[in-house]
Amino acid sequence: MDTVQQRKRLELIAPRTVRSLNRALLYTVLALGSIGTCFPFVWMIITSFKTYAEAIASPPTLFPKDWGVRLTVLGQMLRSYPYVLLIFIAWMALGILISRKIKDKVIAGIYIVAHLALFFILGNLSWLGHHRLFDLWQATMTRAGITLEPISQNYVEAWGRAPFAAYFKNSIIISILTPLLIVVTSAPAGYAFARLRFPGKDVIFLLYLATMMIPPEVLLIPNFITISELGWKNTYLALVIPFIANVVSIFFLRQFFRSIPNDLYDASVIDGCGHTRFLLSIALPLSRPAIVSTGMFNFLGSWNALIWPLLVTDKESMRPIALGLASFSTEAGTQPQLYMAAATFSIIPVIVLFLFVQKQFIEGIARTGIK
Amino acid sequence: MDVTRQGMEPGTRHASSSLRSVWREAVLGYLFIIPSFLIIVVFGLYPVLRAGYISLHEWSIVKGRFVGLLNYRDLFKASDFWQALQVTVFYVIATVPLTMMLSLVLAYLLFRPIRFRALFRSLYFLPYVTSMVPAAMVWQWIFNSQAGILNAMAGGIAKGVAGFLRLAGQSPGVYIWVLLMAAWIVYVSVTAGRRTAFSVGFQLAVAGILLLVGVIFLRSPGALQETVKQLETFFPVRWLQEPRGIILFLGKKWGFTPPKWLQGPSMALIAVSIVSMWHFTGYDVVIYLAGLFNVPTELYEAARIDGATEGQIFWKITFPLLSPTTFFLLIISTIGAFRSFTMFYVLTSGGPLKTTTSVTYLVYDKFYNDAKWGYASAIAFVLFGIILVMTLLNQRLAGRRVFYQ
Repeated sequence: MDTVQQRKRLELIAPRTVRSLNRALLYTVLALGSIGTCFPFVWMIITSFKTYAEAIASPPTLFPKDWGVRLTVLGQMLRSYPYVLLIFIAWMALGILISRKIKDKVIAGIYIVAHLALFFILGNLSWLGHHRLFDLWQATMTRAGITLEPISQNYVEAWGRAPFAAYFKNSIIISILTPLLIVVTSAPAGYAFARLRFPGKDVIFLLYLATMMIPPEVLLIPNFITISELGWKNTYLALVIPFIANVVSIFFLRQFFRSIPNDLYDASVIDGCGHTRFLLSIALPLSRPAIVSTGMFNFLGSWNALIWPLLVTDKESMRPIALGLASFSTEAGTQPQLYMAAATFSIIPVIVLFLFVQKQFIEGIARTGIK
Repeated sequence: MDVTRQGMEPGTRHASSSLRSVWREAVLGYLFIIPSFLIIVVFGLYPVLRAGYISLHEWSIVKGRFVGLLNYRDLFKASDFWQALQVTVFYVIATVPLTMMLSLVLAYLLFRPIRFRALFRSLYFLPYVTSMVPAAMVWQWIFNSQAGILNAMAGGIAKGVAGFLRLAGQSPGVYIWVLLMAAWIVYVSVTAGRRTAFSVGFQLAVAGILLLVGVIFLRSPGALQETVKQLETFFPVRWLQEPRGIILFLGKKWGFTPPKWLQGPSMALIAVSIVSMWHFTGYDVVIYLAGLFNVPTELYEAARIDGATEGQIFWKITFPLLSPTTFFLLIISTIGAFRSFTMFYVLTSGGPLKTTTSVTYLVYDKFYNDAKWGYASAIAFVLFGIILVMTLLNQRLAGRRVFYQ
């Protein structure tokens, strides 16, 4: 590619063509890469809509067979009740109009999806009487003489097979409490390391940094014993307290606080502000990006934690979603369509949250490389 | 990566403040630190001492007798520790360099001013934020030997290649192939002066291997027939349930049995490594992108004006200036791979035949399933030591060669 000869030869083709060919190649490679990373998600969703017989068929089908039937039913339904289509188009036009007012493209995208979902929720409200979407669908199927399971069947069944509501509740409590408490402990610590002088500061900071080198496996057994001794097994305390001092977050916030100009502090001292007030009303609000990205990280950490909850909980009702899902997959191991449905509804909240904060989150990582 | 971005050294401007305020500042400092300090001492430092104490005992749920360093002696004698260490090293070698190379390529492509850059970046990053448990469930299903999509697709491709080979083998295709490859080698050698050493070496290696394959097929048509047959029956592979080493596995198909030390990581471990690459590529891409944005654009412009080619710019400017990033990623990913547990736990639970039992999984296994807490703590300590030595060595060796801007 890099010889003079070749360049001359390439110029026989118009340089513009070469450039657009290069461009096409670039996009193809990038698209193939993202298909590679997204394929497991797509496959998960597709499998979750298959029937049991179809899910375990070999070779696998690329799309659920009954989707074709569903499409024909949908076509017939729209033909018999054309007003549904009209309302739908109007509704979506409204959605697109609203979403164009939203600046952030990702959030606009999320909004469109939510808007679409709202259509189905509103369309099934009981005051619509027999005009509910579900009733229209049923009527069309009866007329065509087709019987189909509801499309959400696997999801409903999976949800009923294990206490997923409790799992979600636990996960939400743990993964909101942990990052919050981490901010509560790390903000003052980071501030002290960044801006206060006290004897032994450097030694303590080095001690903190040294704990980052300790692999969690070393801590597992003794911490497990500590938790048992404290009688914290099967409590939220066991799942949250050991993780509320996070050295990475402290380090990250310290870096951020150091970058706040001293003049700002001097000015606030003149206004009668002490260190505590300065931290709460100036330093913390200024470091919102840092807090969002460490917060998201700690959220993910607690949401995905597996081994620690496994050790300190043995009651089903205290387990977070990752652990509950793991035990569900062993139990429903022979029913892939069910555990794919469970995997789907456990992944979606995290993905939606990630999409909301992705920009700050990714940039936070890029800046610090926390892992 | 401006983690070391300097703020002004705080406090220096108040050097004249009174003793009383110095005293108050110190008290405030301790107050600010106490909450995190308590937690870190109780759940981060004290446990290390306690783990050391446990590792010197026979300890099965309750404390047993003091055995000194016997646990350590036992573990160095036990074959399962060495096997676990081998598995871990294979895992590191299989995942870290490949993931980094792949992400460098993707980051380099994403670095250009293209449309949908943020979208692509988010898509690559998505696996990193998803929980390993549902991800592993999906991957187990993809790798499934009977109904898995991977075997179905790869099997289809293998059949296609086999069909092509059969066609090419019967016609003068092989001769044309060999001539083409020979011509490629001659062309690259003649024009070698204008290329980078890497490009020449890479092209010669590829062309050489392809030429060799052609020559083998030319000399013994039987080999071609056998290859075609093997390709057609290669899939389904049992992936996560396949304990045989990859070299043994591939060799057996073509009638070659490697010695025990050459069997390589098990197919199951390869499958786990694939999932690991999928999971971590996005993270590496983000870090590399940040590194790329730190390279001053004047350097590129100057090089372009001097007539440097894209390849030269990459190898002579981008890559050396990225070395701090590469070094950082290398350390972080190696340590991460040494520690990784969830991946093994959810994908294979250490099986088949313990060929995916990494050191961390062994710690868990001894602790949770065998209730040998003292022994498990000893393994954890050895792992700690390994990671510590590696980090220090890394900093010593590579630290000096890295280019800092």
